[in-house]
Amino acid sequence: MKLHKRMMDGLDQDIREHIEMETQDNIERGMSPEEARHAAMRKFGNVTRVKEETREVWSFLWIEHLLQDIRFGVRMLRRSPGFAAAAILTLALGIGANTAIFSVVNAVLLRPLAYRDSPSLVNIWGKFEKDGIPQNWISEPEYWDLLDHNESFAQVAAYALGGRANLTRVDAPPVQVSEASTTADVLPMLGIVPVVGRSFSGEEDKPGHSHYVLLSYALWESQFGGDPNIGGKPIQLDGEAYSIVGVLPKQFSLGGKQDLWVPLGLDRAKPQGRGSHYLHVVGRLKPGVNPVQASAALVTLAGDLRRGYPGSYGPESKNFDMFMVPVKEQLVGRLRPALLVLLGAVALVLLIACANVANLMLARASAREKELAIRAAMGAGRTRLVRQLLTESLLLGLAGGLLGLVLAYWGVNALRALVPANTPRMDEVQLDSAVLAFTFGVSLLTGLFFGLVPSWHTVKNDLREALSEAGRGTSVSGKTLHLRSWLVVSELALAVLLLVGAGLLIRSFKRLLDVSPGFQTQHLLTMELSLPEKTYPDGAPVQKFFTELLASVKTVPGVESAGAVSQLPLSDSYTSGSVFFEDTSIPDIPRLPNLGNLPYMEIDQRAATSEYFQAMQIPLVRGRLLNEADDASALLVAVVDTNFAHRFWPHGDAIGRRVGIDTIPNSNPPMPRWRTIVGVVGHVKHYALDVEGREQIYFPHRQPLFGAFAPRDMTLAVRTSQDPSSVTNAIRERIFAIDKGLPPYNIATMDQLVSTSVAQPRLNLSLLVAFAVLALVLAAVGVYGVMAYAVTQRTHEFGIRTALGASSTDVLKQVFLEGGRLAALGLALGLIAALILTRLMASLLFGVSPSDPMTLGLVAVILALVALAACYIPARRAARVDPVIALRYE
Amino acid sequence: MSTKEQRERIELLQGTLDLLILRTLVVGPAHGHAIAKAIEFNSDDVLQVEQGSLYPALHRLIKRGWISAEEGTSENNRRAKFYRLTAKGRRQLAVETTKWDKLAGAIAQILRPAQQEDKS
Repeated sequence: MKLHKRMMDGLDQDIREHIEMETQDNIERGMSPEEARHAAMRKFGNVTRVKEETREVWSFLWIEHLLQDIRFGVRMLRRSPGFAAAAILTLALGIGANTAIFSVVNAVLLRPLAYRDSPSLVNIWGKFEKDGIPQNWISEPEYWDLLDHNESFAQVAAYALGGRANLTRVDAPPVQVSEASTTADVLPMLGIVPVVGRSFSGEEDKPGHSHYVLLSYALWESQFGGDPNIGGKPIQLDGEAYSIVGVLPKQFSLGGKQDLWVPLGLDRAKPQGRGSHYLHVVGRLKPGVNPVQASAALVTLAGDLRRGYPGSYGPESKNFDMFMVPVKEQLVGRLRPALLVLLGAVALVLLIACANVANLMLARASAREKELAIRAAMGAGRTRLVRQLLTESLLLGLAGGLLGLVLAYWGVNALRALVPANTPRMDEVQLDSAVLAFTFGVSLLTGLFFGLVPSWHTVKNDLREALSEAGRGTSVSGKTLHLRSWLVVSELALAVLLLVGAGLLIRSFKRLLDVSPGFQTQHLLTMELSLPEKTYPDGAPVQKFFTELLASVKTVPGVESAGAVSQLPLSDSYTSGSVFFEDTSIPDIPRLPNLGNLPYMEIDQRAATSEYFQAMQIPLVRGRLLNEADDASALLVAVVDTNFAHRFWPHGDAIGRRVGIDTIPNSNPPMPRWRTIVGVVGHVKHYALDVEGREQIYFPHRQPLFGAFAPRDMTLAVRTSQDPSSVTNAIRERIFAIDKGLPPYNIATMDQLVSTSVAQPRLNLSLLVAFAVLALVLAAVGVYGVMAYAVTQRTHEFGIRTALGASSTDVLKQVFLEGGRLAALGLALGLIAALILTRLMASLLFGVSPSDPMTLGLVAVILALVALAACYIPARRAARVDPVIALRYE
Repeated sequence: MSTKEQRERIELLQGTLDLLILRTLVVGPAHGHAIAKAIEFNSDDVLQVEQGSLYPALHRLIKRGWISAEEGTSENNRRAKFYRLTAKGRRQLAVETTKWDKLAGAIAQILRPAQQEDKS
């Protein structure tokens, strides 16, 4: 543009000089100065116009043409408001759906996490694949090993989740809070700066010196009224004094909802056991270290550990291993398949919307043939005409995009309310610049897509023909009808594809709900209790508390039975551990070298009170359930599930067999502490309805585990005769009667837990069904439009037929046949596409094959009915054609 | 404007002026007035350009990179822009000249038999 400026700046003077020279020449030819000047001016021409034309050389002519086209386009659209409204609304639905889903994809999958340089952050995990543990936390000794043999990571830090504490207040009832613990370097490493106060100092993260706490934003607001001077104030957790050092930002989470954070205070001199895996480890890759190298280094380290500590990792070569996962993938990876399927679905909806609008454009183009022909005759080139028509469609696309944004804004709000509460990053979903750019791009592409075919089609036709005809343009319309039929066929095919997808999800969901979880979900109230270590230091007081409490709860009117378990099914809490067997004849399982080479296996372990099975109505299959007599003084016993019994003793009886999870306290050499299997109960779906889960073993809560321990975190399961939530307050009172500093939390009926556990598939289902219905409606409108148009075009023909004696039924049949032909073709193409594409959504399906014949059949029926319904009005109109009027119409 | 003058002149076809400018500059750089004069002189005053229309054309050629402009002083010591043919412009001239020759030949061929037909 510098050249442009230089040239234009000098133009005035250039012109002046030019005229001056010409004047001079004229004077030399003998003219008077005045005459010479006039002649020169005349010869030069209109100075203003010359300047104007020169400026135009440098200006962008196309912009002016564009503005002209836009003005013209707006005028044309204004002239047919019905068409414009229909097109814009159709596009807005398609673009709005795309924008809404894309805004979720963008926030959840695409945008980097809100950590400093988040792409270089990874989670480091262990795994014991042969034991069926594909991802395991890191133990303290492993963490130190990682730090000592680290070459790939600039930083490695650890935190632990899942802690619980009672926040006691003098002025308010106690609340149960979730507590996470972290090494001092986690927050600075992630680049998280507290909104109030500061992070932990290294000094505060020392063993025995860790009574400091960082509050979550939510807890700060709900319990401390957002006090900006909270820093340094004391707080009582489980009866101990902590000092508040700061408040974390609102959005901060390391997975799940943490109310407060305390320093981890790892003691390198006295680490927990190598087999005690509880640390989340996060590392930042050194610049220049690629993930493949870092992964290889972890595998090498795991190999060294296996060789160095065969007692901890077993002799099974290649069993223990370490790996890393990018932090973002860890957080949102599980959402990817569903989101991509939904994104694909809305893209199909948009395609259908495009086809519909293209159809409208074609119908309108037939009506505009004369206008276009006249414009062509007056000298508008074909490209210019195409450009004009394209401008119109782009205008429609942009208007649809604008309205679509409004729809998307509502849609996103609705989505936020619908998604399961534990969906990560949903609070980050917003219509930000990336989403706006996406919508703009989609709108333009859409406009181009549905505009290109009709405009080219229109201009390609011999426009002179249109002029010379009486104005009905039958030959062109014939071709147009053909193109429009194909558009409708593809719309139907796309709708079939979506319907099949939605149908498969409906069938899956039905199957999912039909799954028996292995217990009775109705009339069951659950709530969690965490006894603080300070007031309940070991097993005996814990056992005493629960025995007393459950006896008391049973007397609450409406309660039928009451039990407690360390991990309730479908509650997102689980634990597993090695169970070893006295029976050494069990084939194909690993052995414990440091405990008599006993066979062992990773099993889901629970501690349960005596009435737990009755309360849950988990069926007894053999032997007996746990009972009141199973206490520390009695024979140590266990109950296993059917899967356990079948797996390890497929041909024998599990009852009477002895298994162990720990050793006799203070035995040297360590001796297994045997527990005798006394009963077999039904398997319970613990993790989710569609996950079978590991084998399960239950130990009596009143018998000691690992020394004299009894789990302090227990969930009550209370079977009621009426609405379970009606006894909540009574039970809470019974708890406070025993310990008034012990608030129950996670209070929910089992039906609510089941509903939460299927929230994600339910949401996928609702969205896909909504999109499929939208697609079907749009496709039906398309069929209607084409059939109506065809009938209008052929009024004459129908008139002649009727005049020649065809009954109205014949005419009706003919229209239905043609509509049926389109529907059949669309259905066939759609089903073929569905057979190919629904495989992509296999990971979202449960108990249904992607080519489920029932679904395909139902979709075919629905589509046929809808297509016929769409033909009905045009067919009726055709049948009623009055031959006299129709012939006169010619 | 006198109508007589207009009748005697030949209207320039679009793009022809560009060609003429390029041709004029083959002999060396010149300023706007000199180019106008040269075109008139070389065509025995048959082609009379409305001199102002030279300027959009010059700017168009500069934009295309066929000519360049530099400040200079005219023969009678006036400041003026001198326009110079670039290598690209020289190539373009060759192309355009060939095209023009073909066009002129074709038109002549069409016109000549038409004239004979008229006479017969």
